[in-house]
Amino acid sequence: MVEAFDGRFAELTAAFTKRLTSELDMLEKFGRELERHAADPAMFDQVCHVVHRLAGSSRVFGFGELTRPAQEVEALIAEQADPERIAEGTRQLAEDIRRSINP
Amino acid sequence: MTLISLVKSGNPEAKSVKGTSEFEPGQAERKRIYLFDRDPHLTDLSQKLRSLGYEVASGPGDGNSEKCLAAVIHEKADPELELTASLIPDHKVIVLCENRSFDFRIKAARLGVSALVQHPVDLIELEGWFSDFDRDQQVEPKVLIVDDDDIVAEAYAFALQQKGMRAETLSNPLKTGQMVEDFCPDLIVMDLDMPEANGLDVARALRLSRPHLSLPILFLSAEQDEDIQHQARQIGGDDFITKPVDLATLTNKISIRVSRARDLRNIMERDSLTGLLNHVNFKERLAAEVGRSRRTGSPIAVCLLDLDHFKAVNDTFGHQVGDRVIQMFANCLTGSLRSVDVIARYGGEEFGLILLDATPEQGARVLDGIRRSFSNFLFDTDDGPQSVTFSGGVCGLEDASTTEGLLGAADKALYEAKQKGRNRIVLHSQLEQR
Repeated sequence: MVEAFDGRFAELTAAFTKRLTSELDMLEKFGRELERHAADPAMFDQVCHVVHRLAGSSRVFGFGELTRPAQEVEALIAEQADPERIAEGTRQLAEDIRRSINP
Repeated sequence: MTLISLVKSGNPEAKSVKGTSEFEPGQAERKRIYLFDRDPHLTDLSQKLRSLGYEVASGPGDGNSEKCLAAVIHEKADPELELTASLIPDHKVIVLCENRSFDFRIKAARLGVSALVQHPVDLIELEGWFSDFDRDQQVEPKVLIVDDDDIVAEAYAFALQQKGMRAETLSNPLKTGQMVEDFCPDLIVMDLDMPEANGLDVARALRLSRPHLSLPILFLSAEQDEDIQHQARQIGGDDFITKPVDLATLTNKISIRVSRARDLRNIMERDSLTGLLNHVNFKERLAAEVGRSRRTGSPIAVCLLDLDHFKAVNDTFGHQVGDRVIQMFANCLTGSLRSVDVIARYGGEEFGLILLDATPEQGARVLDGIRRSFSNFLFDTDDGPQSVTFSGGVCGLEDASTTEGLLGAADKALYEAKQKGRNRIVLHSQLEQR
């Protein structure tokens, strides 16, 4: 029973990690677009959704270190901070994700 | 061979006093009780339990794998509680005791005994424990997780399943209403921020239906805004858990909430004398089961039962005896039917049943078996042992299509059973044929 649970949980963690990889690509792209002042509102919404989800769920799968940087980006977007600050926060989060999935 | 070694090795001679009869829809696999005894009085207890629909065995058989609702041990058969201790890891154990000392109670509690019942046995008290165990065993708490993040929702569900709960996930909040109808959760865990619909709106929409007014909702969100958290509580959110949260904390909180919710619901929905569903909630369940039956195509049998000459029981022996007859009849129905079947006290001495996945004909056969057993049961009164009988009317969706129509059809059949001389079960379809 416990083994079965661990097996299923490992599968879910693998699915979460795979999704993190695609989210990492998206965040890096967003950072670059921001620097070029080319990020559109739809992309803001998408990133907002991703960082909100990361802030809430990464701890469940053992990525608790991503909670705070994700919360910071979420807060910067919510307060409509300067694009450079958002870009900097996003870059930091992307680096943290990269370190977490490739320790 | 001592009792304890007999249990440990498996009892080659252990056989049920009354074997499991042929199973059919609507009929319960008999709920098994192990009875360990060195007192002739318990032979009488064994017979009474059989009359109420239980299968009584003298101990676990070979392999020790049969499911058993409770092991009942007379303290004289196990003065050192060794047998009790050996059974506790796998069974609910009730000790019948004459020892009133609190020391003994503490010893029993330390061992993990589930209940102490004073000897000579009050059958209603004993059966009350059986009903509690049955409810705990059969109906695992059900939790619905509504979260658009399907990976996280699955993780929550698996963690809850490991805690013995049944959990379903739903990533599209717009389907919550239908899912609640079909799954009947004891509690909903609801994410607040979902693209298709906000969790607060989903909760408000659920609360527009009367049966869902008291359904506990536990909001789960990374939302830090105090105002939104306050709104969530106002809608009847029982708690607001702020993400991030680890799985152990989450499952512990849900486990406590769901257990409390079930206890409260039992108090609200159930009749205080019998512990059965009350009239209002029976009708709500009937409406839900009619809808489910139409969607799935599986039959249901709707039954109304009424104790015969009950006024005479009350007038002759007093209301106390009358109440005991009602309690015993309720216990007899609970003991004889499956846990999935719906049993309610419909009125004074009238009872309502919904037998799931059973045709009216199958339902009538099951009820006729219960009728025969119950008529053999003897109640102790000042005038000596007395028996009581009941009559029943049964119908299905072929007889009527609405809740009221079904209750009317079952009532018509019940009336016919009374007219024909009582102590019988009548199918509504038989009335139509005449």
